Amino acid sequence: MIMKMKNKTILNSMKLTTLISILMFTAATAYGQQYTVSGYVKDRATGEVLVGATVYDASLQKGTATNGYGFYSLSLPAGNHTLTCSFVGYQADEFSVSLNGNVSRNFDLAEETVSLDAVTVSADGRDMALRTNQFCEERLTMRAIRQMPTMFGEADVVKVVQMQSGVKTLGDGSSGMFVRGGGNDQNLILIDEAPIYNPSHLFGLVSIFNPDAVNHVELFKSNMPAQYGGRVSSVIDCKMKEGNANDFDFAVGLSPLSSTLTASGPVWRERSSFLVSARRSFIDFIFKPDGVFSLIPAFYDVNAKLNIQINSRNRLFLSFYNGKDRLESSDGFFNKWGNTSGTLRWNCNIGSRWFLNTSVIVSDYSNYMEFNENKHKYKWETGITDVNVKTDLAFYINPDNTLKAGVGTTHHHFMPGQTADSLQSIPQISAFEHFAYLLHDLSPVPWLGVNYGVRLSAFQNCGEATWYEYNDDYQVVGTKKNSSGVYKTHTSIEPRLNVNFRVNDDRSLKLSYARNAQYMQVLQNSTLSYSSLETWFPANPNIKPVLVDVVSAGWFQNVGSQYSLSAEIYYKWYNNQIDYVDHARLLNNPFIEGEVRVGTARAYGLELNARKTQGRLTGGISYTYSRSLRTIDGINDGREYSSLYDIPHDLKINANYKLTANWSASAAWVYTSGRPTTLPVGFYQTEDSYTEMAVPIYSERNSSRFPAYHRLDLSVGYEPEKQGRVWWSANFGLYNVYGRKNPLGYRFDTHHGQVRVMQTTLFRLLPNFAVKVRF
Amino acid sequence: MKLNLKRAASLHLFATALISTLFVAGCAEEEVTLDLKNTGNPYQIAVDGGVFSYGGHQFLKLTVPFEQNGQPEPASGAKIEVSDGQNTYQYRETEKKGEYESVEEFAGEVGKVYTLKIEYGGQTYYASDSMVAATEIELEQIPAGEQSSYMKIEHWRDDGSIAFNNHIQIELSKHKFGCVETARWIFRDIETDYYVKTPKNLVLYEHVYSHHSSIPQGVFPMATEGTFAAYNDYEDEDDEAPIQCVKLSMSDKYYDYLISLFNIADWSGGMFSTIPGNVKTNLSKGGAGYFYASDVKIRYLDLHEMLELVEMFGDKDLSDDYEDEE
Repeated sequence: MIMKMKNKTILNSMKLTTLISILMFTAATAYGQQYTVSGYVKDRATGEVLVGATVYDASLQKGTATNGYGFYSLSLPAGNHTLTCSFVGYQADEFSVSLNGNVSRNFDLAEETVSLDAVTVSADGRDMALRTNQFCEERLTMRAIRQMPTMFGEADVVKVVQMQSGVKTLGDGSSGMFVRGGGNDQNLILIDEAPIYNPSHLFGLVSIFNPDAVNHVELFKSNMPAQYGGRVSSVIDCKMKEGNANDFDFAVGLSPLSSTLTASGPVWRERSSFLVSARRSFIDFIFKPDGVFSLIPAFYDVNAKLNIQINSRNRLFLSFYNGKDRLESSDGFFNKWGNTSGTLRWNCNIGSRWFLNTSVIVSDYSNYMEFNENKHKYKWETGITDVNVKTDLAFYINPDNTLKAGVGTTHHHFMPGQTADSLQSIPQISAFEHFAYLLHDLSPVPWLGVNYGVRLSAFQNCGEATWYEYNDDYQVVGTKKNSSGVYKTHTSIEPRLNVNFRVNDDRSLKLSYARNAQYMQVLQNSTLSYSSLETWFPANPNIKPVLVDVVSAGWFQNVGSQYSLSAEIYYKWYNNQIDYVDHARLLNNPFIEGEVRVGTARAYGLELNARKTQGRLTGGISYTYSRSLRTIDGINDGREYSSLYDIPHDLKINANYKLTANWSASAAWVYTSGRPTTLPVGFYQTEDSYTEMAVPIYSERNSSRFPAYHRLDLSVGYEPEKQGRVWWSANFGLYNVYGRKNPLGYRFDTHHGQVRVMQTTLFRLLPNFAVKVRF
Repeated sequence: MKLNLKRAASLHLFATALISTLFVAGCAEEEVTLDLKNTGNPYQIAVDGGVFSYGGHQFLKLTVPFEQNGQPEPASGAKIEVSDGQNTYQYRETEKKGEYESVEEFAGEVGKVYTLKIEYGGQTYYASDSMVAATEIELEQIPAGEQSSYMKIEHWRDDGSIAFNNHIQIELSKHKFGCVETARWIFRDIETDYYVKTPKNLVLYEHVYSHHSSIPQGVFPMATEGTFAAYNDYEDEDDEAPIQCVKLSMSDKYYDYLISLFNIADWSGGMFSTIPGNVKTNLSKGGAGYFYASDVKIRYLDLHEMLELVEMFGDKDLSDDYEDEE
């Protein structure tokens, strides 16, 4: 039976591959004799590549955009052409060429001189929504990110992602991102292709993305292209800057939470550059966990990158990230966690139409907790280590026809929970995760674009391992061991399809379907979104991978030259969604799978967006109505219930006003429904010896809600043009201006027969600032 | 604008200290009144009590569940009986409403299963628990903490002669983890024949729980709730044993009940609190709480044994500290 199914799967894959090949060949032969212009688009001052810059032939109305590495390839008929290269915030550049052979041409764009009435924040994004066949893609440049009000003065990538429609968070200060009904662990977060397993510093008040080291961020909500996989909700793909290839730059940044030092410059002028940026928090210098403040956090991170242009066709990159957090309390609690990653990447443009990217990636996440109690030192250590090799090949057949393919494999080593007592440790697990994908982006006629592909993935538990067998009551009935080799394989076929109907130059209708598989999940049952104690746990003989099918539709429209509107709907079906039983014990519990129940989930929503992308006033309004619901046997008596992030209404408004050439003011207001929680419906009394205790009684899981969450943030920024040798910029802001008491959580004090509800609030009005000096 | 680096640096330090203070102190807790959604209380009655192997009248307490701002009301007028399969014992309501005692005295027996039957409000509720044996109390089983200490204090009697008081403190946390045995304990002052209420000479705590298991998730990062101490001053080392240790056995199901109770009571509210849910019960549908059967073992501790406990767990002689303070 299994054999038959496998044969059927292989047959289906072969049919799909054949179909793709036919379509690709048809499209390729539709063009006559063609030559290709290819190269990189860069910032003239720094030599940084510009991702998403367009190269366009106006007479033919054909164009392309630079890929994630700043490379473009545009194949055009032989003859004379005038190409315009443009990128938001930069002066366009023109290049006339007589094509009678392939041409290599790099564009160096100069930043625009600021003109108050012509400020453009994301026209690129506005047009991209109409132009690209890919659905649900947001490209966030640091320029756009810096214009959002901030919590602690520093621009923060995660906080800006959280402001996007369809992205929910659980209250103040959290780095948790719940995208279109998906869990916090269902986002693939990448820094220069290396996965990051915890994007939080200071429990989530600050993200690990150092704004001085980030070039740009791409966000894919649910419908990710086939080159991405392993998570079912979203991709946040962050690319680091490469460093100034022309001159040395230094920057010192100061904010209440941290200081930043950044240096970049050429190693070999115009051929090779470096970037080093480091941050360190201040709080632990000022306070000690001495009882006044019993819990003191601290963090640091370092980003470094070296890029070497070997010749015009080959480039080599070495990226490094290391970040650590420490949390120390006066009563013996100690917790440290952090990510370390390294990426060695080789870019090669083979000929003018082929682009090859090969990477070797190492990523490590660890979390160590220590607790001293009565002479006993308890420790709990979790982590995951990955070694990944992958290669991606892009073939730019012509402006309307691009083919991408890739293969890769990752070796994961999971340490779900290690303690001093081996009997209470969760057995460590190793696994391989393999993938191969094929992606075809095609516009056979001007009004139709299709982006389709398939990703084949396999997850193999392997190596020395111990796992347990459970009966129907989730009691352990046996122990299994494996000494070497593969002992369990999960496979998935993940088709992806996007169709773009370009109604006219200003209107577009997109439809999309995708299947995504995820082979690892976080076991974390805290109701807070910023507990740092993640336990990444893989699919195995007991737990199947999560599979999600999602369909989406969207209408995108530009209104005049400054405005854009969009409306998107989606519906997602989850299979093998896990959740935890009441009172689940996930620490010191080797039988952790006995606490997990598996079922289905569904999520659906409507997202409305209006944006103004040009002029002195820019900004946007977004409204989302969405639901996220689960049905799991053994939880809530098998009845459907809200997930922790089932937040139906979500209204976000942000605006930036350019006051003068150097000064700007920003505001952001957020309103969301209260998040679900499980609160008591009553109490009963029990006697704990002579003390009377009121014991809470609950009815349905997550059937209560917090009060609605809302807050207003304001900021003023001073950012002059470069003046002389040393220049500076600053940002002053107010977080939660009207001091809304948004609850973080509730605690029920039930001793002595009384019931007291204690509400924890994180921040009311919080001033902030950041100053940056550059030289 | 010209940049004055020195001034900027000092301004930054000041602003950082100010904002860091706001940040660290920003997390505030206050009492609020919640409009708790009433989706229907699944319980009509709560039971607290059981059968002990220690003879005498056996007691039970019945209450009616209440809402957030309410008060527990006694469940008065219930008809109660307990059966061990051979004998059935009737209960009667005492002068205090909602409290019931067995009509006749009896002692539970190890190995027997005790079944409770309650008729109240037109409903009948059942619960049963088996009595497992408690082992004899060994000193190393007693859940004393590392703060247990000993201090010899010199003083003068009224007649002018010098004497020594042996001041002993046995630390007792409500929960102690990683113990040899899972049990419930009561520490009792012989002199007052009552536990805890008067911190006259001996301060003791309510029930103390020794857990075989390691520290649970919900405790992190909080310290184990409340550390309490047993003090005693001895002048005469031959004083009779002043402390009575009572160990109560518990069935696995009763321990499960207590763990789920602590999960949403003593151990809730921390960073790693578990998912809230109803406390497990052995009452039939509509009933909350637990009806237990516990074997009782008793041991009396004298001065020498208390000193042994200090050496075993605390190992602290504070006499020198006292002299330094003098």
